[in-house]
Amino acid sequence: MITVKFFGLISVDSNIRQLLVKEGTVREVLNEVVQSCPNISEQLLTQAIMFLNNQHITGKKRFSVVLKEGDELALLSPSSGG
Amino acid sequence: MFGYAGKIAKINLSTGTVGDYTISDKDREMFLGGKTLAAKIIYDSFKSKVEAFSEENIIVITTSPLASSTSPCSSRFNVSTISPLTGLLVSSNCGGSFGLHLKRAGYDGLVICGKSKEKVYVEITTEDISIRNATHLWGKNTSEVQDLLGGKNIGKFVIGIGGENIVRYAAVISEERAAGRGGVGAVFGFKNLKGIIASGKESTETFDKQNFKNHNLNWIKSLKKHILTGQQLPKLGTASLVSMMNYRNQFATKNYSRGSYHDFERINGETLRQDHLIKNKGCVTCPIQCGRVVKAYGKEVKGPELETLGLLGSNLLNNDMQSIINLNHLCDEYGIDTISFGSTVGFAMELNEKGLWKNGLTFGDCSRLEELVKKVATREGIGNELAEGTKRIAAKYGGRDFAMNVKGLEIAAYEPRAAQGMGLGYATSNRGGCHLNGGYLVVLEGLGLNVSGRIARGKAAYTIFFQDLMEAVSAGGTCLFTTYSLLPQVLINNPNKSLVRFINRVIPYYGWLVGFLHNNAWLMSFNLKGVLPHPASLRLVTGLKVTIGSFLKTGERGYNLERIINIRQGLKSSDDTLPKRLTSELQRADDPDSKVKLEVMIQDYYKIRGWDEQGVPTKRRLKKLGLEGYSL
Repeated sequence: MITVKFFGLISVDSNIRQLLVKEGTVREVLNEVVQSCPNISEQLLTQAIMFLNNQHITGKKRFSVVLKEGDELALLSPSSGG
Repeated sequence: MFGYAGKIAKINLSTGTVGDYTISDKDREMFLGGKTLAAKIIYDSFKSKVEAFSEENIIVITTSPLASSTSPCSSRFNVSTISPLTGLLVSSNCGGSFGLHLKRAGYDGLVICGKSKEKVYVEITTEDISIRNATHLWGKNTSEVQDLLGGKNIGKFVIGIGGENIVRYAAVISEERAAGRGGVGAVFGFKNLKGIIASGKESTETFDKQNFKNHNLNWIKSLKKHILTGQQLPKLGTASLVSMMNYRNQFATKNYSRGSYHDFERINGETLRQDHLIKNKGCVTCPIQCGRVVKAYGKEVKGPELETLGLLGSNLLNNDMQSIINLNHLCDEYGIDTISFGSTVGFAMELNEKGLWKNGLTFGDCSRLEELVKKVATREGIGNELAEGTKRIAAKYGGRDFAMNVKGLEIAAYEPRAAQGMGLGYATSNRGGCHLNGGYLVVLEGLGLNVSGRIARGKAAYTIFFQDLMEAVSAGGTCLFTTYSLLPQVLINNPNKSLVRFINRVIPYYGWLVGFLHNNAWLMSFNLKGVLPHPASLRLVTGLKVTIGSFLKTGERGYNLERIINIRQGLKSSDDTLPKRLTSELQRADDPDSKVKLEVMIQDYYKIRGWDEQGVPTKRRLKKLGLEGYSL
């Protein structure tokens, strides 16, 4: 399984901190997240800043990255300051 | 003059006398208020170097023209003095209500000089200023002493036991908000001054009431509409940053030996909200409401900010949120800066780990920390040494390379090896290792925009721009969070779009343009209320011709004047540096860019600032800023 973690407004607005989903590409994983969590819009997820196993992934190519068993995908909304 | 009460009181604690401190309308126009006006007063008050713990040192408390207006987030006030940590000028900003009440009492500021023989507090009303006996208040925590000093509609600004015992990083507290940095509370304690209270019903005149009202309504609307000030900060507070900082390797961990903490999810903003948040809270006139109310020891108290979660959490490998909440509360009650305390304890832990100082403190063992806060505040046992801060402990036990301070002030929770601009900001900040006075470039380097934190290109110009902007916003008395409206939402909300990614990549290449505009501020002799509302606010309140250009120039003027004071206090260019850990040790062994490339940035920084190679403002630059009469 893949662990998807939610941070920032994505987490607050959906009231979910993490979700376990099946292996697949990032696009497939995000689709599964949208289906499992009606509070999360696809737009919110595609806007999110993504880290796969703590590595930043960006650009259109990120959607075709294949996630394997045990991988962790973190989805963060934009931050601000303190 | 519109926006000002028109009076600054001079209170001499040695003689017990009170008089007026006179400033001219031209001074108000040049320095506005807050920290820049305080710098002007401190410059004029000292002829040569002054020690922090001396009768000659003064405390200057200043408000701003917006302090008693309805301008959003503008109730903040400033306290400046010579810092017992750095020996340099320190300006500490506070969100409590004291500044508002001081202004209502009819004063724009206070200059407190001398040293009282007895323990005293000062009471300010519209009619009178009295120096009163404080024997019955001594030994009391900050909430208790504020309760004893009266009820609502009185502004209070007090020290706790930490200030009484001259802990070098003691804070001064108003309500639950702290003027935390640089040890201002220790100077209060040295002067035997427990606190100041102010009350009154005076009001100041506004130059253009109707347009000011409309401007404020629009400003509040835009703050509520912006994703950062309207959603992220209200919902998650400053703690919202923990997760992003951790993923970007910017979260100070284990005395800054690394930039991420494996247990960060136990101490992040999401956990604070889910498991501890009771309600939001904000300063007077604040529509953002970033403050958290949580429970400690069965009471509703102020929750920890991002800096505290870092310094008392990841920095000590403390993954217990309730422990951090308790520690934060204790620091507020004893009147101690959480950043310097956390950094000093982290340093002591590493000294212990390396066998340089056997003190029994261990990373991850947080069972003794609550007891330790009290020991520091009372200077009991090991607390007496910890109360001196990292710089002095390093002088005694060694470990200077990982004593995480700049100029003596402990740096904040942002690990700069993954944020070059923040590193430059820490190194050059006038008050030492401060993220805000340093320009807070990390907001471009991953926490708002997505400019690479690994590269040094262009960072000097952006750092200067933001340092001067922060300085000007502080002079205006407004919360620095209001500057986020400068960051276009389209860039924040769409970090993955090709065009946005391209813009983030090219921003460093436009440092030259930012530097050019900085040095030619006259090109910005206009106002764009939707982008930067502060100058327009000041213009509408005071009637002064404040534009974006003149506003930034005020910030630059303040920054340069503070630099001159610091040079007079003995500052050298070699002090514009960072602990070697940050400039020599790679954060990640496989990434040669994971250290702060300070030497690449610092000469650019001096050049754009118009300083010579030794970091001294040139006569030409001072003349340009109207500071030609201000010599070293």
